[in-house]
Amino acid sequence: MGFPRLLGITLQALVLGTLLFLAVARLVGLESGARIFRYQAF
Amino acid sequence: MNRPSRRWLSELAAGAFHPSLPALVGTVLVAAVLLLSCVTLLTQDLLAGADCGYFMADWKDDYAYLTCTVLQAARTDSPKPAIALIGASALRESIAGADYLAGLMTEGPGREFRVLPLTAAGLTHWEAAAIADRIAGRVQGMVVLEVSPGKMALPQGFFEDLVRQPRLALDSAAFDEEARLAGIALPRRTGNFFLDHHGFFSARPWAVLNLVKGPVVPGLHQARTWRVLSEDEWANAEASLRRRIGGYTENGPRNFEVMGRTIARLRDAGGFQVVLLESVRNPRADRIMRDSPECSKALTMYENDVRTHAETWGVPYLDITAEAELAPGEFIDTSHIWDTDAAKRYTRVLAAHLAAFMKNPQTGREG
Repeated sequence: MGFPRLLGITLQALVLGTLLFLAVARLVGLESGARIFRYQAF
Repeated sequence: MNRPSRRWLSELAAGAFHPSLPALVGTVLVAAVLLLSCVTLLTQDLLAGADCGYFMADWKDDYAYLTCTVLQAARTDSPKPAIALIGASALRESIAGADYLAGLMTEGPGREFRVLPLTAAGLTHWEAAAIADRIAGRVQGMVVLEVSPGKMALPQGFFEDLVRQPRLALDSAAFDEEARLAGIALPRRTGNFFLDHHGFFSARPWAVLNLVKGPVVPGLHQARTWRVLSEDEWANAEASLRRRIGGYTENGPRNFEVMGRTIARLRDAGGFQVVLLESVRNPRADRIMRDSPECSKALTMYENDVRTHAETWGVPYLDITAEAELAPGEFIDTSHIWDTDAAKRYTRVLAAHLAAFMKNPQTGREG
């Protein structure tokens, strides 16, 4: 496997890995009902 | 483009866009490393040491700001005495500014003070207990605890929700003790700050972008950006206030017990003078509540209870809305001041009382 292909795979893993982490975090947050509290007077 | 370059790029694209086992393993590995980084790096010490704005979703995210401010206050080793203001958004909007109040206090008792505005929208007395617990023994000076009939009327179900989904990322023995006394099961703890407060972080995943954008600048005067309520919205706000205060008869005594234990913990830690401060109320909302016989009865009961409570615990109780001459037009809704001059007037009256308590701790104990 050449260097450019390895670089491409690394880029793919970095982007997808970050998105996977954020998606799982959001899912865990949604599942546990985590939200930012906002005041509403009415 | 020559041929080797084209080949190089097509190889790069093949690696980046084609699914492959190495890319899948790499993706899982990257996600695992990020999780591990959070578990090891997102600690109380980081939140206490970094700019609060890095953890805020936006400038109105006052629970993230409050968490960091409390952790910082508990860690800072400042020789200056502090005035900690613990309360909800009504208190946040009533104070013209922490520096303004600190300046007024310095003029009065002739000492330098730092003011810690520990406020967040709808902050309850259970959360106040956790905050007081974290700063007790670490900060010297005065703690101003905001009280209001709406807060003292909160049902236990509200506390159950807070135990299940805490809004603050604070570990507090006092909060846990209150949950145990209320018979609420505590969630399982791992001892790791990130894992134990994953709800706090997962509610604001996009705060990670602050690393690139820079820290958010918090706003302590949010009401100035709110729009004026329509008459229908006013009616809804009044109905919601009446409903909540209607629960005072049932929930008030239990909530005052929580407040009492908070005062006791602060006293045990030492170095603090505690003051109870009645939350500001729009005179228009006050009149409407008193016009309703049921609400008026609950309000009268609350007023007697809060004074008795202050006397029992030997703490001054301040209700300065009338003295600050706040007018309905200076409020945006039932309890939030949006007029800068009104907030300054209120802050000046508060500073005068706090300065008097500093000079003579016996002042105002008669309620």
